[in-house]
Amino acid sequence: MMKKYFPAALILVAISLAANCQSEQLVINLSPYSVPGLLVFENPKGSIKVTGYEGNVLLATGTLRFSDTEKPAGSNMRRIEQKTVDITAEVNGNKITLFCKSTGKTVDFDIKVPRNFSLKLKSLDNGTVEIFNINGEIEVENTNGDISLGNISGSAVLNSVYGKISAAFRNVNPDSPMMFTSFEGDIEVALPGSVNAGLRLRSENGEILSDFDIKPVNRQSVVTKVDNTLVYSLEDWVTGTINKGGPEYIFKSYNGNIILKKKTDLL
Amino acid sequence: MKRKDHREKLIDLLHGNLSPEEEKEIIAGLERSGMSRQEIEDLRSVSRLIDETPSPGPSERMDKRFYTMLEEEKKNSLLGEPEIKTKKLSFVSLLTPGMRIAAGIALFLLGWFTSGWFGSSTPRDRQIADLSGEIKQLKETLVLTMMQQSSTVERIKAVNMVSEFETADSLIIERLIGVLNHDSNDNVRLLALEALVRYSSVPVVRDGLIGSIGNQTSPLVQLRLADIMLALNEKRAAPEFQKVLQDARLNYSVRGKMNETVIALL
Repeated sequence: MMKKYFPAALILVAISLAANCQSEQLVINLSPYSVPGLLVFENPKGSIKVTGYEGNVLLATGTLRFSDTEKPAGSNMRRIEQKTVDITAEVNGNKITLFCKSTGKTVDFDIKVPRNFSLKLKSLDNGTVEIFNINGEIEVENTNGDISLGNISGSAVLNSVYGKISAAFRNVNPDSPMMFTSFEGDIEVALPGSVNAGLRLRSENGEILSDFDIKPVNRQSVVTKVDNTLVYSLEDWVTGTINKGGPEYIFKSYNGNIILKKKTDLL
Repeated sequence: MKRKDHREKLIDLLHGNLSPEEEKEIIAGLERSGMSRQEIEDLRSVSRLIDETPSPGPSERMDKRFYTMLEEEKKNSLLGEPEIKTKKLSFVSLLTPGMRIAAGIALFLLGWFTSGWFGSSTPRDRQIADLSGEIKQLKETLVLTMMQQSSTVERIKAVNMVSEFETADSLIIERLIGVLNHDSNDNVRLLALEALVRYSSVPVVRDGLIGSIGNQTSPLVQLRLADIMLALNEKRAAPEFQKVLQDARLNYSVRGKMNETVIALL
């Protein structure tokens, strides 16, 4: 019962005043009860980089990409720096939600989290999303930029429109389905050679390449009723299994290639 | 002082509830009856030990088990029909144990006779049918709960499970259309669309698909909808696509495809 009253996390804010970059840092000391946890973050403008490490502190650093100090201040005038990046965090049990208020400025985030953490990230504009050394469930939406994952254990649901997707898994969660979609970009995913999975792949204008031994599953027929006529057609997904088969991994692009390979190195 | 009185006081002495004078009196009495001071002290310390030993509370594991059971029970009662359950309970509680036994015997006899009248194979088939029906119902309930999870992986699992059903009831279809229109993740929406395509001959599904055209921002979903409407030759979709085409930010490839679709449909 004591656990209930134990504070889930202590939050400290530190403003680092580096010489020529405007950045702000939020430090959250996590209690042992909030690991493994979930980090939710939606960056309105800018990149997100998340790295997992062996520790119990969540460290979020936001840096203005285009510094005000580069602009001339005028003769005899010095610019007095104002706080321009505002980072806040809401802690609810083991769920931590970060917020960034930046009034239209591009802010790049570098976040360190305990390795056993799940992530739900979104970059709305002008940035890439990079994730390394994480053991958990990862969900990323980055409409306009690339998404790259390295040294991941667990599962991922990634979604871009104009960006490239690349992901390298050290281990996969044997029960979790995964999904990778990008409209314009290539999707490149590396999985352990021993992975058991079911596949559904489709790229309208791109190619599908793989060094896995994929056993094709017969395409199912789809019945549709057009006006008063029944039309039988084959479904347009390529379906197959790797090794013994398992949870479904779905890959979909329109103009990009889909590359599915056996993981040889970490990235 | 009477003997009985002494005995009561003896217990009070062991619990330490006596005033110092009374204590002295009793101890003196005990010593007089041949008990050594050491023995009395030993007795008192044993009694104190017993008092101080904490009574074991439920272990943490037991606690956890209880709470998971409670959670399950709560879920069950949420999903099932609570009113019927409470009615049944109050009816049963009215019966005396004797009447309960009598009712049990009557039910058993009734079951025996009816099984004799109806033959042995029909109830069995019915049982199997009931069971598979129940399993389907259970799966559907599970899917509906999973669709509302905050975890995207769980929602993907739920939509994939629907694809395994041979038929889907109207509630599942309604929720799938809800996912297609409102899910926060575009990947889940795309999967919901793929699951719905199988039921495109159902009028509700077709209306749902047409209605969702204006709610989509993902080019993959928009394009797939254009494909589907073209394949179904669904003329009612054309004005919806025309509305979407007015958005200046529409993806180049999607714009091309939608224009083609509108021309083909009109």
